[in-house]
Amino acid sequence: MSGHLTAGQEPKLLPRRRNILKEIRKSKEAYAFVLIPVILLILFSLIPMLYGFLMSFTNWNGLQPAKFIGIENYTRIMQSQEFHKALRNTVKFAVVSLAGGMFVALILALAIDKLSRLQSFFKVTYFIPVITPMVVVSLVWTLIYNEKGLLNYLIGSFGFDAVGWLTDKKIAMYSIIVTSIWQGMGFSMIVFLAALQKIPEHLYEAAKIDGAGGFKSFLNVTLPGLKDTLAFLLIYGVIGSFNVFDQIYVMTGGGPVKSTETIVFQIFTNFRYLKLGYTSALSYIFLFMLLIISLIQFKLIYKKEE
Amino acid sequence: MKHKRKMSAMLSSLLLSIVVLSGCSGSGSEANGNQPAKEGQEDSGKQVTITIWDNYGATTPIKPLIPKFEEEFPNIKVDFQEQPWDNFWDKMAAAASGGETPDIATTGLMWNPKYTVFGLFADLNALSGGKINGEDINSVYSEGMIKAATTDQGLFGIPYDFDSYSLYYRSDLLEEAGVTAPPANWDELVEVGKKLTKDVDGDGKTDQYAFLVMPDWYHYEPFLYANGGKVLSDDFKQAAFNSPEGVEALQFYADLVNKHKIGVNWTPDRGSYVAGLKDGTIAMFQDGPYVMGLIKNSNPEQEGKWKITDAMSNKQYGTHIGGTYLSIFEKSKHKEEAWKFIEFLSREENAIQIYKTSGAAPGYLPALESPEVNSPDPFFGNEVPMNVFKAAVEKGTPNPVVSSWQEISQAISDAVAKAVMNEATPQEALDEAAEQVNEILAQE
Repeated sequence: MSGHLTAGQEPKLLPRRRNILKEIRKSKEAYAFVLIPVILLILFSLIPMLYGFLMSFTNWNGLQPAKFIGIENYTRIMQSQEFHKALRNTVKFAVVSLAGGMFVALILALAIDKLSRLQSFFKVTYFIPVITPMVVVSLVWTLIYNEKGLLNYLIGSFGFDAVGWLTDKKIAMYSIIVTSIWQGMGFSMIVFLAALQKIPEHLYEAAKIDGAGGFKSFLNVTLPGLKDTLAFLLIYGVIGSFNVFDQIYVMTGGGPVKSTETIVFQIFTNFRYLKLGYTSALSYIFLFMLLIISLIQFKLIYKKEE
Repeated sequence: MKHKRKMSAMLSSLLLSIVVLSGCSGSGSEANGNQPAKEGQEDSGKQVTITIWDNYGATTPIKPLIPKFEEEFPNIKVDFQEQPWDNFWDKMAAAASGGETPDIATTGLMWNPKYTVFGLFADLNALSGGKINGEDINSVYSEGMIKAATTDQGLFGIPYDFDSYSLYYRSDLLEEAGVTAPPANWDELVEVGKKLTKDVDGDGKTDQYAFLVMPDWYHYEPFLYANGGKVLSDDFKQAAFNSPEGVEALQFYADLVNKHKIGVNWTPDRGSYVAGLKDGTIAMFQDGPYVMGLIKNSNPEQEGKWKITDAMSNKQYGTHIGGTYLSIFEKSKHKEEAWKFIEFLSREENAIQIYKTSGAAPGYLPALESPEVNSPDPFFGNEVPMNVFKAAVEKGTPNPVVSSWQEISQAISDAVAKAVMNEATPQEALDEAAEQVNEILAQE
C-alpha cells in the first residue's frame, strides 16, 4: 500500500524539498503550532534518549555522580544468562502471540464476514477487550487462571487435576499469550474484515467459473487480497509484542523462576534496583534489536511490493 | 547556499529557544524550592510542614496519632501521604532520582542499605545524639534491629515495628490428632506433620496440611539459621547459603512438600495464605507478629484455636529479624521537626498503638512490657504471644547489610522455588544462586 504511494510520488518529491522554506513562509501559523510539539519532543524524548545513551557507558544510579566505565555494561549484558533467557522469552512471546493472534483473528473475520445478521453485534463484542485496559484484562484472567479459578473448575468438572496456569514454569508463558491474543484479536479482526469486504466479488465469481472450490479460492483470491493487511498487522504487531509488559507485571511478575521475564520486564527490574546505567545499556540493545527487525521487515515487504 | 544559511539560522534559533525555555523552567523550580526553606530558617516558630510516606495501609497506627502531635507542636503540620505497599520502592526510586523526597518514610531492610549507601537517608545517630526521648537508643531497641540498620554511613532508621518468625499452630487440630506439644525441632515436625496431614472430606485429595511452605527466601531463612547456616560470609563478600548446612536446610524444606508430603507449596495463584488459615488448609506455619493482627481481623471465629511458640530448631535455634523503620531523608529541610515526630511516635503510649491498631509488634521494646501489650490474649489460648516474639527478636539474626540485598534475596528466593517445585536439586539451585550472588557482590 505505502509502497505504491511513494513510488508514484517520487518525481514530485524533489522539487518540493527545495521549496520547503517558501512553504514555511506561506503558512507561518501552521509551523508555529508545529513548533510546540517539536520542542516538547526534543525536550522530553530526544534529549533524555541522548542522555540515556551517554549514561549507558556509566555506573549511574540516579543519586550519585555517574562514573564512566566504558562498554562494561554492554559486555556484561551480552554475557548475562538472564539477558539471554529474557531474550528467548521475548521472542517466544512475540512469535507465538503474533502467529496465533493473526490466525485466530483471520478465522473470526472469515466467519463474521459470512454472517448476514448480527454482524455488528459480533464486531462490537470482539472489539470490547481491545478498548479495555490491559491491566484490567490481566486481573480478570489472573482470577480465571487461579488455583481455584474458573478454568480449573471447568477442567475439574471433567475429572482433570488442577493446573498451575500461572505457576507452572512450562505453562505460564502460554497462559499470558492466550490472554494477550484474546485482548488483541478484535483489532486484527476488524482490520481483516475491512480488507475482506474490499476484495471485489467478481474475482470470486471468476474463480468459481474456473472451477476453484472454497479452499482454493481462499488461497488464490482471499489471501493475496489480504497481503497488505497482513504486512500492516505484522509490522504493527511485532513492536507491540516485543514491548510486552503490563500482563506480565500483573499476572506473574516475571515468575515462576523468571520463566516469563521479558526484556522490557528486565529493564524495569533493573530500574527498581537503581542500576540506571545498566538499564540504559539494556534499553539501547533492545532499541537496536527492534531497529534491525523493523529494517528487515521493511525490506521484505518493500521488495514484495515492487 | 542562501537557503542553507537560513535553515541553520532557523535551527539555531530553535535550539536557543529550547535552551531559554529549559533554563526558565529550571530556575523557576529552584526559586520555588528555596522559598519555604528560607522562611523556615528565618523563624523556627513559624509553621513548618513535614511530609510522611506511609506504606502501612488501612491499619496504619501513624495517621490516627497525627492530631495529637499537631496539638502538642502547633508549629508543625504533618502531611500524611498513604503509599501502596506493592510499588512503594518503585515510587521511592523515582522520587529519589528526581530529587523529590518526603521528610520521613516508613522503610524496610530490603532496600534501605542500597539507599543509605547512595546517601538518601540521614544518619540518625548524628541527628539524635544517640538518644530518643532521653533514653539511650541502644538500650530500648533490640541489638539486632539496630545492627541491621547500621552501615558505614550511620544509623538509617529507628525501628518502628519488628518482624521475627515464630511458630503458629492450631492447638485444636493438634489435640484432635492426639499431639500433646507443638514440634520443637525438624524431626518432631515430620512426626507431628504426618498426623496433621489429612484428607478431611474424603475425596482422595489432601485438604489439611501440617505446614505452610512458602517458596521464598524469608520463610526459608529460619530453617537455614536453625541448621547453623549463614546467608553470606561474615565480611559480606561471598555467598554462604550453599554450604552443606544451607543445602541440608533447603533439602528438608523442599522434602516437606515433595517427600514427606506434609507441607503445602503456597504458590501465588492461591492468593494470600491467610485464606488457607481460615479454611483449615494450614495447621502450622512460621511467620512474624503482624500475622496475629491478620488472623484476628479475618478469622474472628478461630478465637482460642491458635497458639504461638518458638520457631523450630534443628542444630540450634534460629530466626531472622526484620521490620519497619522510620527514616529521615537527607534532602529534608526540616530534619529537626521530622525527628520530633519520630520521637513522638516512639513514646511508649504511642508505640503501643502499633499493636492495638495494626496488630504488629512495637520496635520500642519497653512497650512490650506495658499491660496493654503484655496481657493474656483469649484469641491465642489466653497466652501472651508477644513474649514469644520478644524472645525471637532478641535471639534472632539480622539480614546481611549489603546494598544489593534486594537482588541477592531474589536470587535465593528463585533457588528456594526451584527446589520446592522439584526443578533442581537444592545443591544445584543454591550453587547457581551463589554464583549469581557472588557476581553481584563483586560489583558492590
